[in-house]
Amino acid sequence: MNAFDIISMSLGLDLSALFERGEKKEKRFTSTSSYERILERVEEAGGKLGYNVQKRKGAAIGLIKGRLTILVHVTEVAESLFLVDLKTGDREDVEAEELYWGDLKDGFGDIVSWHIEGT
Amino acid sequence: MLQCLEGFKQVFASILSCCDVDLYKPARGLEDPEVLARETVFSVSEIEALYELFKKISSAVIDDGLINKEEFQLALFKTNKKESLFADRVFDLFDTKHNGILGFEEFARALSVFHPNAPIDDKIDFSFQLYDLKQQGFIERQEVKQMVVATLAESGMNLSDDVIESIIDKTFEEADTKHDGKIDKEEWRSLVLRHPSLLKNMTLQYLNLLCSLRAGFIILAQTDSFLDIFLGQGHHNYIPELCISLSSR
Repeated sequence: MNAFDIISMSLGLDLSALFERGEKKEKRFTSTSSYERILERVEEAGGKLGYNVQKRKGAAIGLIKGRLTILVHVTEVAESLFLVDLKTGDREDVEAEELYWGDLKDGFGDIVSWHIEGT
Repeated sequence: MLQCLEGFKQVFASILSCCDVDLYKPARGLEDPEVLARETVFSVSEIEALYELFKKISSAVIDDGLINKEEFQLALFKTNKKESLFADRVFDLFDTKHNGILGFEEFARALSVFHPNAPIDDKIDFSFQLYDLKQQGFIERQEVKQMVVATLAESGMNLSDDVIESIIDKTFEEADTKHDGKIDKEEWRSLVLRHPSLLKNMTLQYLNLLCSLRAGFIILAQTDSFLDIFLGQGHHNYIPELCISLSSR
């Protein structure tokens, strides 16, 4: 893992926020589980919660339920340490978003090592 | 070039704002979009759409048609309480007149670098200057460490100093081919050409999908990991016929 890979993850460098209305809806957590286990658990949890699970290239999984679209992205930060971040596409419904996060976090269970509060 | 997609099918649309702007009138206050269009990667309609965004951002705190640092932070983080090393660097690079404020020209020219069609050399230059915190013409180890630490802190992540040092060691091993403890422009260039993902935040997919349409502006969002376009499932602002301006150069 290159230091610049980490640096390029900074939200301060993500100018797409200039084009977005409302707060940047992104949740992040770290995980010390294996890469495969993380993806597996995300898919499992998504499925159980009734999301349409769509695997994408580049360690990304889309979870879709009605109008809500969540993009889950897994990045290796250091050896055995992964950053999982969730972005939502639909910023209309703030309440739904808070609900989604609680349920998903429960579903993810023990792959979540450290939940980063508030972004 | 306007291509009309009739019966618009699958769109994952994040609607920014609906302004009462008549498509066929030149944007109020925007003198000469053609000049900027000529000198940037944007088309005239993209410049006009960008101008609408600029007006919004620049009137957030002081309605003076200029973006100050606070308004920039607000636009980026949706809060002016967030200090960021990187946002500061970005602002400074946008501010080519070095007067602490951004006029529309500076805004458009800088964002032009982030356009998907912008020359990669421009992106390489911009990113190099971004990371060259002290503006010495090279990126030092200490600067890299500062940036890594800042990024991790942003996410509330804590890595031990040892781990951070070893990540930086590996980075310099690969990047610093002249072995002088610094990364110069040339070394940066070969590093990113070998690892193009390092430039991913230098491209905003949104920028080639700006559209002015009838009574509003629709910015089609693309996230960098999926290029799928979803049906705007019940988006209440969904408009069946859209004209999408795709700038192809």
